[in-house]
Amino acid sequence: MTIREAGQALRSREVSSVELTKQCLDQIAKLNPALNAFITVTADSALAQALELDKALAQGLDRGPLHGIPIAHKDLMWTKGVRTTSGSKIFADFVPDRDAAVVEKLAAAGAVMVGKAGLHELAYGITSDNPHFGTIRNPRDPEHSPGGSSGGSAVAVATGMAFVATGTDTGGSIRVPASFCGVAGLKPTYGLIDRRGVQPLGLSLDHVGPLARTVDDVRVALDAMSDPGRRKPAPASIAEIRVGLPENFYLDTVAPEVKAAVLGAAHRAKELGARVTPVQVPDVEDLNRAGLVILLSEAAAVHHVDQSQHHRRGDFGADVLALLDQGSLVPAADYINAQRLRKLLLAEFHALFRGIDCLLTPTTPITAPRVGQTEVTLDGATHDTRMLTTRFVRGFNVLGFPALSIPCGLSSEGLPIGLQIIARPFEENLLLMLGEALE
Amino acid sequence: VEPDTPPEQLAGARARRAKARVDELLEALRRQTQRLEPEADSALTFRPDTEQPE
Repeated sequence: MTIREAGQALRSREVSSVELTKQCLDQIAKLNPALNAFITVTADSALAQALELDKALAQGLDRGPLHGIPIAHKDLMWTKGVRTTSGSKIFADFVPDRDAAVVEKLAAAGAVMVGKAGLHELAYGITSDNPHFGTIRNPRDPEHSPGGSSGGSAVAVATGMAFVATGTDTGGSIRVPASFCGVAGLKPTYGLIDRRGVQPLGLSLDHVGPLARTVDDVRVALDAMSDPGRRKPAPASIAEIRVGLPENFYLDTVAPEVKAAVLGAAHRAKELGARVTPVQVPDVEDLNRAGLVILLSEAAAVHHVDQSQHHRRGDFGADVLALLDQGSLVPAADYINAQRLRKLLLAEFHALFRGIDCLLTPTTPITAPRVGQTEVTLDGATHDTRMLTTRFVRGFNVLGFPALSIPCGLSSEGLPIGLQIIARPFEENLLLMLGEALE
Repeated sequence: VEPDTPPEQLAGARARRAKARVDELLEALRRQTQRLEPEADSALTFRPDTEQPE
């Protein structure tokens, strides 16, 4: 059931928000022990909130499309009175005294919070294999990773534990789990969604966005999470959209099934009337490298106090501590020059986008790896799983361009393949239009 | 690393590997920075006329 279908059923009294909320809570009770999507379930407050929203609707007080719809928040969004762990031992008992701006906005739109979704520790990683709160598992096959860092959010929406879940994306953390779990996930333009009250990681790379089962559900959530007036209008039709299909980088080092699925999507876009043209993209290796230096430095700055205290170092998982230690080795001069390179590369990508309206790429070069798999063999070469998985997504955090991941078929193993569509800043409506046509 | 390696030595080996990875990354970045030219704007934007809450 989509959000709009649920909304119609609510308004025609075929279903109540309490019933929708109970359905989600039942799914959580049934599946969470095996999948570990939630760190905290807020069943009592969700049912109380749903009851109030049912009463309000009966009195004609309608807050809009999200009125009475159950949602989940990634557990690094501050929630007043509800513990917010950031997937970290350090914040395991942290109970905020106020809501994050985006939590406030979604509550004002009538959404019902059913709980706090699990994540990779401190959102610093793509496996969601969390040493403090357990491993989150892929609902398609629990032996496989759901991706991360917003792993719990993707699992929650994929399994009907929630209609929408919030996520954050600093180097692919919304799009990678969306790709691995077969749901839609949007990293909007940098700054479109207010980040106040969201645990930071990469101060100039962090984005907040929604994950949901359909592109239209993502649209409904985005409207509530930000000011729709800041987005540029959608084109009049698909025929007006110029789609760039990269000839370099994005179709190299890709599993053959993923490549075939993306080329199939480009063919469908053409059939729908879009103008699909091959393009050469600027050096994405340079972009990723600058992004990595910026992320290592900024994350080390954010967590410097705890990382530098000997008695606190054991509270970090080994992978996160290693990254924080690496970040503390980056000289300030290199961080500043990475930011200067970022501007140069931004100008090159804007030049590319003068000839196209969007790019089509795979979200991830592979489908979900197995839980604990640290290396992947592709084209006869061995790759680090984390570096391979973030290869196509990280650059758009550096550029701040909006990027949508949608499901694009299944592999022969039955695992989802993700298609990424990228547009110029504030062109989310174009992404949603094309994404909806292709999903 | 041998399985019976003492923890301190293991940590040392990890630290050396981590440093080697960062050195490699920074070396490549520094090759890129040769493309940089003097700019009018700071890459780290600071605008004293506006409030910029984090």
